[in-house]
Amino acid sequence: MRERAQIETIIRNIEKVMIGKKDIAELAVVALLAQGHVLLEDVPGVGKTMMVRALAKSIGADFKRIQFTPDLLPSDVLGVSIYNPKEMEFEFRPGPIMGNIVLADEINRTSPKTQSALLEGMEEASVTIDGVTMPIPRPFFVMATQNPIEHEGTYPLPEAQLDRFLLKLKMGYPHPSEEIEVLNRLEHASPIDTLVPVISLEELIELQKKVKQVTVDETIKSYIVELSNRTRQDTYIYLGVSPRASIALMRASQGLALLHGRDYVNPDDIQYLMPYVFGHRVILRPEARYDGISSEEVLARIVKRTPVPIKRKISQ
Amino acid sequence: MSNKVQQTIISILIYSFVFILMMEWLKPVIELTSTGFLSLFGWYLVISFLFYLIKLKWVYAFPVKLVFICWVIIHIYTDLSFLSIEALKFIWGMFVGNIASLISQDWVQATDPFRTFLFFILLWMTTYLLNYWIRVRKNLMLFFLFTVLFITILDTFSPYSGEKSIVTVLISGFLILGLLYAQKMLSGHEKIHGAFIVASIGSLLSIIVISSALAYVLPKAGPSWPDPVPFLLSTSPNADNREDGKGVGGGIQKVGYGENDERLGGAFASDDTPVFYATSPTKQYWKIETKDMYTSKGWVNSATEPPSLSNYGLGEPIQSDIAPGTEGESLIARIYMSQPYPFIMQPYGIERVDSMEPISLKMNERNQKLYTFNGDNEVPVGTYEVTYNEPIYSLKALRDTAPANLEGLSSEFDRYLQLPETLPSRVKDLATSITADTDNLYDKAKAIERYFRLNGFSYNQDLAAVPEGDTDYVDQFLFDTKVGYCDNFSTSMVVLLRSEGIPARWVKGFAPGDVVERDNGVPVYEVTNNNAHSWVEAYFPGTGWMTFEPTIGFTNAVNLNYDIDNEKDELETPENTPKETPEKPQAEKDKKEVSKGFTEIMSSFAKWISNNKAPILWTLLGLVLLSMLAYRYRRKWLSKVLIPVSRMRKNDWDTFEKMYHQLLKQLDAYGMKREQGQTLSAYAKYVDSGFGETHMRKLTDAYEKGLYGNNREGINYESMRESWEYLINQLSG
Repeated sequence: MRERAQIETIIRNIEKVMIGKKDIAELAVVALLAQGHVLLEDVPGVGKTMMVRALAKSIGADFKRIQFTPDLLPSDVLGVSIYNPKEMEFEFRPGPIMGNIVLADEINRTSPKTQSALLEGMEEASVTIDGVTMPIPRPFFVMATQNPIEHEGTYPLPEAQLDRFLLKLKMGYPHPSEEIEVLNRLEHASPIDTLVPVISLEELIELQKKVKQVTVDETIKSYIVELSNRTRQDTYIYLGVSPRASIALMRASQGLALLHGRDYVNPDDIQYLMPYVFGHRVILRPEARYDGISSEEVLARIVKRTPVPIKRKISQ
Repeated sequence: MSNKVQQTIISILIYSFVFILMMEWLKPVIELTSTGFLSLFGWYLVISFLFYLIKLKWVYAFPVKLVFICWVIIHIYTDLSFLSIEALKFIWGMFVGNIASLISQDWVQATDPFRTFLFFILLWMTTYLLNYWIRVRKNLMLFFLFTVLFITILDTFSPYSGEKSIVTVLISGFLILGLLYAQKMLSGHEKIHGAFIVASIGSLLSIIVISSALAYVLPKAGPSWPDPVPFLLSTSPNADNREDGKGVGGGIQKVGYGENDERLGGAFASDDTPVFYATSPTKQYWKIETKDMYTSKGWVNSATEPPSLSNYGLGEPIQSDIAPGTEGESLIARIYMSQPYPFIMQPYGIERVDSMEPISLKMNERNQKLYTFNGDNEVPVGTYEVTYNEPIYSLKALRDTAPANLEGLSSEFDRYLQLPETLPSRVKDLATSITADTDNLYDKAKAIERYFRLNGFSYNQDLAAVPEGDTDYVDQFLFDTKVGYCDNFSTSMVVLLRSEGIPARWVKGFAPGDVVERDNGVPVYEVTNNNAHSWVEAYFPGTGWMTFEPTIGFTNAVNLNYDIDNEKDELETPENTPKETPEKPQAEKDKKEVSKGFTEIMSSFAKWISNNKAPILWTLLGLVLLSMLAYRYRRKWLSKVLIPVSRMRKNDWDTFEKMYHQLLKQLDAYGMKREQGQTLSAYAKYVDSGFGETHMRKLTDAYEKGLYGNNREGINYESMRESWEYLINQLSG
């Protein structure tokens, strides 16, 4: 399949600079294909920025970076209209959000006001400034990073806003042997500079359209809904996932299926993506914390207990 | 009471009842093999179960059990003190000698001590298995069922009476099942109140005790079915003419020993009056006399010359025309007569007779009857001892007697070849056809002996016919009635043997009877009038007289020395006997009656059912058992059914879907469980890792493509079928 080959080249390109993080690269590409955004939660210095840059370079996209600080204003993100005395009118100066690939670094360090400005832009894929709505160019992909919330000086993202991210990923530290490989590669030069685009933006948009054509069988849809439902009934979960989460899971699994060269979604896709899609969308009860149970464990238990559909439904 | 204490108490109870069940297995085995020493085996079981109960480590249990076994062997077979060097030597010698014979597969050479040892090993394995069932499986249903089956089968087909043991078995079996269930609940994670356990076990106990007590006290109807074995045989179509025989002739006779055998046949009323008691280490046929002249209605003695009597004193060696065996020690049987008979009950291989009573013995050489005299008067004898040594026959010598050897027989044997002039020729033809495939005399005799068992004859005391007019007794039995008792079988065999030119005579006496008690471990047989019996002796040149037992339901194993070459050892294969199928007028009759009305058919069907309740029930029971077995071992044969059935279907998605789910089911039954949350492809990986191929992966990919991707055209169903058959075969392999 042509699509699969194209996607593979993107991932291979990213792997040139990111060592031992193929799964994260794949998931990032899945989010890109499914037109979603990714929240990367990890300590600084594990290669979050490098990954986004590699992704942007691979698709020849316009890469913007916003470093969030507590004093950042919404206009610093969205852009601002400045009066041009020569032309006698306001002129819009687009902010960093008006790019194809945007890295929103340390999003939880800024004030909620600025956070919501970004998140609204992400959701609507357009910005409204002074009553004028401006679409953000396609493809539009935001990868936000945040430090683990326990760190000091952070404004935790509200749950409603977390919902806007398709996937939440964790990079994790590289394996020692991989870390040595990182050092080896960076000893004399930075490989990121040598990366060249492997597909065009048009091709990427084409791929994004293909994702929507991936078949999701009725059995799979009911499986997704069943999983969502069970998060709403689980004893450890205070707030289950929203229908938006169901849509997100379906879209993401369509992307993953395409990545695997399949034109249909299977239960493995769902099971694989479910923790990344649902993980940041459920709120655990305090009991879970007392029992030392993480949301990953709760979700894994739900997956284990939900029967996988293995038969056609009798006509309904 | 803490959970632990309860569990211990229940365990003790379970092991005790399992011990009782095991004892019910041992009892008949010990009795039927006349082994004796039941208590020693019982103690062994006690030790075994005790060790399992306290979970003694095998390093301790193993040596203790081994020492116990060795002690038992020393105790039974030698007078040695257990701790002596000689005893050690004996054990050592036993192993060395017998393991050599085991390796050379020379099973007959194994000595009795070693056989006892092997039996202990068998018990060891059984107890181990039982312990596994109790501790791990917590389910003893199978063992319980088999015990019941074992006892009922023994009771039906062997002299062992399971009347009492079946009660013990059922009570202890149900108790075990209940207790195991209680233990299962206790060891489960659910918390149960102690009172609940006590109450449930208490109620279980009281239900069983009350119902058994009630069952014991309440009046019981007699058995509504006849004894199944003779009944089943008598309902076979060959026994159709039985009605003719009933009531004809001299009415119902009383069973027992009588002098007059001139008119045989007719029904017998059973009579369990004891005739004598025999304390005998072996199960013996008791011979009284033989008769040599068949009159076509019964037996008389040919009296062409006066009887020649030889006199013997007490303790003097008796010259019988069947010489005693020479191997092993002579045995002594003690006879206590309850009926005043003036003759000796002779075991085979009789050597001499001793008695405290003032008697002398006279042997009638013509019929081997051993009379007891006091002076010149025949007197009944009360108590006496017979020393005997059972004759042993060489199978090789027996097989070497060709029909040609008969030509040199002296004229003395003419009376054992006598046949009435009126004997229908079809009897002789039958004899020829039965023995057609055999070349030596012994195999001919064996073929005749077996003939009755294989050709629809049945044993019945009530349905034996009396031949009327010119009808020949043997001819009537062989071709018309096919139902009768020992006289029919033995007389017919003698006639058939004589037809083949083999000298034969008709023997009267008593069957061994039933063990009623034990005297210092030696069984005491009670022989009643019901045990009056007749059998056959045949003469083989070079070997002499030898007994045969043609009567269905009786066995009289002759000691054979299996000194023949292995490849010739087809003695037990019954194909040699051609199946004689007498003409069946019944079949033609059936044809005429085809055009019956529907109601008539229905009513005759209902009648048939009511007439054949017992066989139908037995058949149903058999079918249920068969289907249970078939279900239990379904994996073994299912592939042989599934594959051909699936091949008959079209190669399309629906078939494939069915096949795939069939496979999932079989995998599940095989033990490869799929978690409900496990995807098919993850499961396929697991399955393939088990079988080392990628067939499941291939099938699953195709199935998922069809199910989730709705792409059902692109599947190569032919190749899917190959993978599917491979897996199904693997599963049943």
